[in-house]
Amino acid sequence: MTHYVARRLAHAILTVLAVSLLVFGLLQMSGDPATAMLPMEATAADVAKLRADLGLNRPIAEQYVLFLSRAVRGDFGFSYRHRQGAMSIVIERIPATLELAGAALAVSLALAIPMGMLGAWKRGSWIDQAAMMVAVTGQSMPTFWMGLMLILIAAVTLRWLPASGGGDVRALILPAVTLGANMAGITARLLRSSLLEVLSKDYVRVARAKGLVERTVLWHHALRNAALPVVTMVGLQIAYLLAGAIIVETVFAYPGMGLLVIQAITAHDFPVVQAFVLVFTLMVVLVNLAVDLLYTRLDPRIAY
Amino acid sequence: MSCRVRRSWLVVVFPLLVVALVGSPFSPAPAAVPRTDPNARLVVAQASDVTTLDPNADTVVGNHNVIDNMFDSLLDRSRDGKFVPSLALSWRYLDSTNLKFFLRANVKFHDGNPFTAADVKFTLDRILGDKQLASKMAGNMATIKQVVANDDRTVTITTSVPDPELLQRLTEVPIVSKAAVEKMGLEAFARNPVGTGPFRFVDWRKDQYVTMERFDGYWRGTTGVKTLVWRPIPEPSTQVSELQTGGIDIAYQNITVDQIPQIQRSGNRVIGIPSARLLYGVFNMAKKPFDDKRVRQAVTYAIDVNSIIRNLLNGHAYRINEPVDSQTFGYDPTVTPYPYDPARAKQLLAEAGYPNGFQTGCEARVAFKDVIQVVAQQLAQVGVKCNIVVDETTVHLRKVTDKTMEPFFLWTWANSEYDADSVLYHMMRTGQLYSMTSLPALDALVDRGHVSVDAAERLRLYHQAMQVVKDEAPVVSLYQTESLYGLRPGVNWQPRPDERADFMRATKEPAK
Amino acid sequence: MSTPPTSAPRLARRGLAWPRPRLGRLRLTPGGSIGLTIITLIVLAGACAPLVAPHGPVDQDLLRRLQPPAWAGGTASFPLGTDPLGRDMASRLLYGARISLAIGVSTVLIAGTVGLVFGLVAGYRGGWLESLIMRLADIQLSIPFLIVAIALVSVFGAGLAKMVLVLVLFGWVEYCRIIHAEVLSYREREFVDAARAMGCSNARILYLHILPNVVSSIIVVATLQVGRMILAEASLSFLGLGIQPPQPAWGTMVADGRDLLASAWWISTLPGLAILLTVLGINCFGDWLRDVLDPTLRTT
Repeated sequence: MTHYVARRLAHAILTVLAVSLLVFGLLQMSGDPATAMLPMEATAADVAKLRADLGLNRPIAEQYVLFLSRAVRGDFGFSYRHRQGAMSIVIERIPATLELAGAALAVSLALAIPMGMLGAWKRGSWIDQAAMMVAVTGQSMPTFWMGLMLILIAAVTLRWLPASGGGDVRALILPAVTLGANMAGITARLLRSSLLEVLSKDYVRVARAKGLVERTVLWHHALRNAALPVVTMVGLQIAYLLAGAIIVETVFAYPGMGLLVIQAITAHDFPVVQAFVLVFTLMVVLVNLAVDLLYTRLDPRIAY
Repeated sequence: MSCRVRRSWLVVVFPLLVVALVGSPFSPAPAAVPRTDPNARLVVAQASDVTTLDPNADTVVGNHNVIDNMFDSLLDRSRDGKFVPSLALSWRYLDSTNLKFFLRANVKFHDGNPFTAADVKFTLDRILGDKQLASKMAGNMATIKQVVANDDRTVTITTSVPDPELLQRLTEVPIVSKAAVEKMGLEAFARNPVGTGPFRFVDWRKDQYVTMERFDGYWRGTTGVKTLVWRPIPEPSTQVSELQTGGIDIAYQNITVDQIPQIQRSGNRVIGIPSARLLYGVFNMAKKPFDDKRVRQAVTYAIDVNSIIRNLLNGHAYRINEPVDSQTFGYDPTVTPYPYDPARAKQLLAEAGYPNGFQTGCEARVAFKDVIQVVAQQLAQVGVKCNIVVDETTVHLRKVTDKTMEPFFLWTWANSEYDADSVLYHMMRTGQLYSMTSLPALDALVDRGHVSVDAAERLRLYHQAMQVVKDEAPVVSLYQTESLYGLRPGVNWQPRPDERADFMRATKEPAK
Repeated sequence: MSTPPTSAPRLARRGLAWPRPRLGRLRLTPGGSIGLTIITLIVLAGACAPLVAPHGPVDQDLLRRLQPPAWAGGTASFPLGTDPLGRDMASRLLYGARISLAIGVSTVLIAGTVGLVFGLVAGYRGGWLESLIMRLADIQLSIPFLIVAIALVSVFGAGLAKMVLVLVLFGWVEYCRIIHAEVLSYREREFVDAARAMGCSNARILYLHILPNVVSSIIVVATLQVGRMILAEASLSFLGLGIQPPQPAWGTMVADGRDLLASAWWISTLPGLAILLTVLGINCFGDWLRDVLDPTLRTT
């Protein structure tokens, strides 16, 4: 077991390193960051001075090693735009995005579980068809458009909820629904088919033969086993959720990590971009690891 | 009552009644209902949050809109463009490179410390020399060689070369409290600024609000409202809906022309004033075919600016005939604009060797993506086919400084110094960081204007320069943009022509 | 764009021959027929756009800006209203169908080819090349597609070619994994050695034994991926990083109307609806295809 965990961790570190190299290389190719950071009236001398300050004149390999050694200590450089350390500003924004992701996950499960169970229970009937149609529609919806439509309906026309910003729970609702609805579609369908598969198993037939009500069969016996692939799916969807948060945060101007990185990329604020990508990759990798471990708890047949 | 008593009652009451009725026009009017609420809370929304509250850190407009309400500079510019005293009572040029300021007495910082010349020296020194601050204002102050605090009330600034723009630049330098910065350190001061301005800092919650309150000891007087709150709301449509619901009182510049009808329909006001920002179509003269004057003139003839202003912008822009607007020093009123003449454009193109037109890349930043599409359509009518590229602002700026910009692009220049030198020298002189133009005749004129301190001579030089620009057409002077502000009813505030955010005199009527 | 891992290495089911078309067994479910109908309509719309569209897609008319659709106060000559530059929404939507479908199909074709080649190479050659390729595939699952896309575009500029490149960069992984798994399971079987001993070349083995088993999975994956590519392209265009104006990409059109939601709702609503319908159609059809061709691919 520990061997497995160690192996996965090593894999994770390798992934993170590869990503860091990618990001570093990419940003190096983007032209001269110094001129992008200076005001309009800057002279050539100012540009040269900033280049030297940023260490842009050193050979690439040296810059990368420098970057890595600082990164390990948590130092991703100074964001000139935000006037504070790049890592610290990314970390400041993590709670907001996690809140959004958590709320979206809750919305998604709240929508998906009833839909999936309904579909499995009334398999083949029009209820099943309708539920699955709703699910696939949710899956096909462009997130940015759904966000705008929700703004149009709930914020502009009905004036119930704020159209943007952060800070309080009300500002969380629309972004969470947008993000969660998309994921709900896939999860609902997965749960349904997984339930169907389990329901055809022998132990379920035994339970039915014993005279248990269908609902009990569903809840106590089928669901737990059907949950397995759903848990895997949810775990993998976390990466999707965090990435989808980027678009949703942009549409709603929600002050999380996603909005931060979009602004940083377009402003060529490289320290922040690098810090973000590494944090994001770490989060995804850790979540995947956690899901794998959870898997072993849920299904005693699997052992590493 | 008996008859006798009733009559005596009338005898007493009746005269009083007469006096009351007749006397009322002569009695003092009843106390007027207060039209403004001195304890009002004014919420202003702009597009971006501040990135720092240190006024000397950079020149980012989004920061200064907020910060400038908490600080003063040495001098200011009045609404009709003259320099007026602020923290400095008067100033005098000792010679062409030495400028002496006499400072105002009895001015206090928000923390109670007195304002002295040492604070002025400290401010300028930190802009020029503080490595940790790495001020982006340093470029503007680059000609300053030395600052000496002669005594508590006098400061002398020495420049390395004569700099006619120094006074204007100094209007943009807020003076900080030396004691506060030294006590708190740079990072803390950037989050807890201390200045002499009309409002003093209360709180900053990132991406949510910056709150400030009336400073009771302000030397200029008292503010109209008690609390001023700045909220960052990036989306124009959200700003408009917050304006409609009362979540904000003023939408500061982040609304579009197309939203004006909607705002007005819901009972709010829109104020539009000519902005300092002018829009140009710029040719990269290093790229064919724009090295040929006839091609540049042809493109200028092919653009129907009046149609753009009238139809696309609903009249919310001002035509300019030359690279500067009429309020700027150096403006030549005799210059006439190119008329819209597509036939002449085609003729010129044929003369230049492009009878069937040509293809070119055309670029604009996101804010002008509609305008570039309209321009492209107009150019297509004369055979010039545009491949449109729309860029984010930073990429847009970088392309110009790297000289990788498309051959024709839309460019704005904020002419907040009201001096033609800014545009002609920094934007059109060969080799300048933001210049895509190369005209030796223009360079000669502009170089002399850049260093002269003789106003008459400079005017003459700039008038000549405007004629050169008209003839050579290195840029198409399109229009002066309009700054738009949305206000709720009951809010009284007038924006400044130079677009500095000044809320000292803003007032708000009491809620009904 | 991350996808669930395909199921464990699949065993050959059909044996050694290409599957015969089983057209007699094809029955359209309601889902499948809806999907097919929508796809046909969209393809027709795109194909016939020049014939059917009332105006050109980039023809501006500044005097007729921001007109509502015909049923909401507009005129019949602009049935779905006009955009901020006076261009006809209906025409732009029709031409936009071409763009979406073209990008969706072409990226899938290219990504599919690349993925197949990589998967084959990884499976056949083994060794460090296999590790490298599969490691690359794994890593790509952790990288957020959108971040890299945005970073690439802001560095190298926006545009059709670059966007296709980015989409292909993230699309090849699925195909690679499918064929790699198939090749792996085949490497172990005896009859491959027997076939080789008999003189069959690798190419023949590939054609006769490997490809037949993966073709249905590939078809299903490809179909569903077209929908995802269309969504991804729309997202990038919405952010301003995809198709440049004045081309009528649906994502760009949604962005055009963002500031005008309250006063000109049709500018954002209609193109988004178009995207939704198209992807819905593709998903429904793709699901039906999967049920018919290759039920073992089911993860949902």
